[in-house]
Amino acid sequence: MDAEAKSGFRVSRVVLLWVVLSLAAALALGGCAVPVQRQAKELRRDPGELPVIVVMPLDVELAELSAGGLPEPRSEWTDAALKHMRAALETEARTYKVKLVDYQPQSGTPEDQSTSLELVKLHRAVGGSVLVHQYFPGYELPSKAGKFDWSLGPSVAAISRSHHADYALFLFVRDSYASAGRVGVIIVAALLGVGVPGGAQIGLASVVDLKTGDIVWFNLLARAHGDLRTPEAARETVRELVSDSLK
Amino acid sequence: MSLTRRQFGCALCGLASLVVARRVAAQAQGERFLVPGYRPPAESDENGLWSMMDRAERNLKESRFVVRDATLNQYFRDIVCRLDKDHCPDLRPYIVRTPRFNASMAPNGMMEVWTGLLLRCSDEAQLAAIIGHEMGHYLRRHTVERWRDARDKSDLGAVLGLGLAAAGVGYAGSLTNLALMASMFAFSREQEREADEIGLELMLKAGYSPIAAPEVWEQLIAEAKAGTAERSSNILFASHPEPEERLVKLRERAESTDGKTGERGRDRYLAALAGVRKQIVRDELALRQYGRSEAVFDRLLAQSPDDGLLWYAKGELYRLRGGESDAERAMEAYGTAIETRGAPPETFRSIVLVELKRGERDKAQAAFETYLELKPDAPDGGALRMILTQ
Amino acid sequence: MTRLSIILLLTALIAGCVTPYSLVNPERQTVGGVISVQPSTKWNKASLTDYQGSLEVWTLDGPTLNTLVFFTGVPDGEPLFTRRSQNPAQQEKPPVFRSTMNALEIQELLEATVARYFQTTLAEGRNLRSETIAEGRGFRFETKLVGRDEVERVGVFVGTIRHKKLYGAWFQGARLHYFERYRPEFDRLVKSARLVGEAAK
Repeated sequence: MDAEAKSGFRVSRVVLLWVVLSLAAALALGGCAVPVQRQAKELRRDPGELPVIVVMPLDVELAELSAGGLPEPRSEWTDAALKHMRAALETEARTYKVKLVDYQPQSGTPEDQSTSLELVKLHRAVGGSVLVHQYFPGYELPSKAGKFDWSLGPSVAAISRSHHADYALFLFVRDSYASAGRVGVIIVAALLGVGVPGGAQIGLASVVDLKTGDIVWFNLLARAHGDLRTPEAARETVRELVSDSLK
Repeated sequence: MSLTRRQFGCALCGLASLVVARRVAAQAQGERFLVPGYRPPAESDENGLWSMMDRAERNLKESRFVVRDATLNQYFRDIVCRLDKDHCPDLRPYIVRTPRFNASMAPNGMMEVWTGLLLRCSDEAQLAAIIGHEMGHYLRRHTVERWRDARDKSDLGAVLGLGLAAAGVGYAGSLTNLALMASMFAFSREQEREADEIGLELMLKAGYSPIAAPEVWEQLIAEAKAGTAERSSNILFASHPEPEERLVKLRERAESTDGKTGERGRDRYLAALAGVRKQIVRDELALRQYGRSEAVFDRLLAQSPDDGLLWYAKGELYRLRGGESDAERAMEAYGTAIETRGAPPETFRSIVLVELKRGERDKAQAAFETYLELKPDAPDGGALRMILTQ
Repeated sequence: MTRLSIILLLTALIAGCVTPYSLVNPERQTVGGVISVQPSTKWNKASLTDYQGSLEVWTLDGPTLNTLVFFTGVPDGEPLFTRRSQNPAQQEKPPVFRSTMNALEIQELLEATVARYFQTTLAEGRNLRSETIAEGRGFRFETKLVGRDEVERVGVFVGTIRHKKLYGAWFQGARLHYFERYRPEFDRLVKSARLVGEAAK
């Protein structure tokens, strides 16, 4: 998510990770209630059919916090998390009676493929904008007056066509876990009476209506606990992030 | 919560032994060179780095900044395989459209070369010298070593950003940040010396003229001198420190091997670049770094005085600089370009602009007509017509 | 809560970007004391920390998605804008506007300025044509820009030179949705534009 766009909104991958983890820690520590943003009450359900949701490429990274507090990506954790999350999504889908299909970059006409790729990149930018302007205190866009009207636009028809789907689900997760060394630091800090975050989890989930492109549901999860490395815990995280959207 | 001293001590020693254990496991498989088809063990920290690079590569594949010219990409792969046919199946070169001199190789075999480098190499041997040097770092896994050092020192931003910066992946941030990170993450002198040696070895075996290796570094240094304070933001210098010191050694080694024989591959090089060269030149000019660009164009022209595109480039440089007498200099360069018969049609477009500035409407009109003759589908025909009628 | 604000401040500083926004109502506005426009919808004015020059920036959905940059009288010999985050000592001087420039040269200037400050080779202007801007002779061209976030952006730049200064407006946004959605609004804004204050003398 290296964003070197206009007006200095350039955030490198490193910085982004710092930003989201700091935000997560801050929100968790500050005990802020983080609201779900939604435009539509519920998914459209045509009689006799299950709504079809395309699961867009899961943007997930798990890292270990070294003693110095720096995140070190652990690919085997990330791979496990991706597997567990996808399985957890399937469980939720069964519960809420929706059908999930995985995004296939090669599906559809070449034009649809390239539009879909562009939409994935656009969603990163839109997600970033929502994160900043809806969740960072003081950085709201006054013209919106609190209204949530973010969209990917009508070009989402490309995804709808190529995957025969009604909605698209985007998930972004950055998660960190204390290493043994980090735990050592935490213990030392505790002895000295200083609180140090052991790790944090931040997740963004958005559901896009493929008829209109509107983001009909957006959720931010930020907390100091949660574990995506095991199936059970991953299920819990996914439920927190996503289940409300599937109703 | 309260802890006994022993528990506390063990928590800390846990950290230390974890670090050591990982390193030892990895070094146990040290050979001279990376074995072809190598993949690090699944749980190792090196595998974590590879996976990170794999993800970066997936992004790079989709990047709008990657040059997809088929001829050029095939040419690249051919050079890599000529240098090292055993390892070349593991290597994947990407040419990225960034107007700066940089090349890097990630531990997972992803290679990135920026178009600014392609502009500055005079021939295939010089390009091979750079590729050979980077392959030296790859074959000896220097990047993994550096990454481990940085991680163990817990430098700020070390792990993620530097891993990517080491790979030179443009995705990793603004170029100034990249240089900063690259310098924090620079190869050691020893690693540089090794990469130089291996690079030379590979070049000699492949039949390239080894003198191209010190040449390409000398050119870089000269160019950095010609620009203003460009040095500190030069990414290649940041990650490959003290080139002057190594140059002496490099030159000695190259000359000791009867350095001047061996292939240069100049014509092949220019032919391979034919589809992208004009674009690369314009990217360089867009930077408006006149001192630096002039040094590059002059050096290339000294070797190749009949290169119409380069004379056009010089003309553009003067036109855009727009200083005292620059209009005259520009017109002279455009004239020379036209004489070589290799001038791009855009030369006449530029003449339109200069003549208009001088108030020579008729000459501008004539140049416009020549431009349209040479490039009937010119997308800026309408724009030129507009400014001519104002 | 202090800890929270420190973290957020640090976060913002690291990100180096986020700026507060103020509301622009859909009524006649004077930008930079010299350009008068009539928006038909609410906009957000960004307070600039990173950018310097004779400019003002508005946005609708956030700067990564769309921006409207007003050039409020760039004087002869000055760049269109500069970015403070880039150490000026490290680079040669940026390219500058000259009042003797024609529209094509101004287009080239924008391309070079953007290439430099957004570190992209994918910035170009095209389809330049003349147009009446702010009741005087002006020009319009389209822009295409891909930043390092790989998002493709399109835009329109309109400008005019009065009393040796450049006045203009550049609206651009993501090619998908965020430009197209507000292009009619931009066109209305441009039609409504007048030069006032010292620009009108």
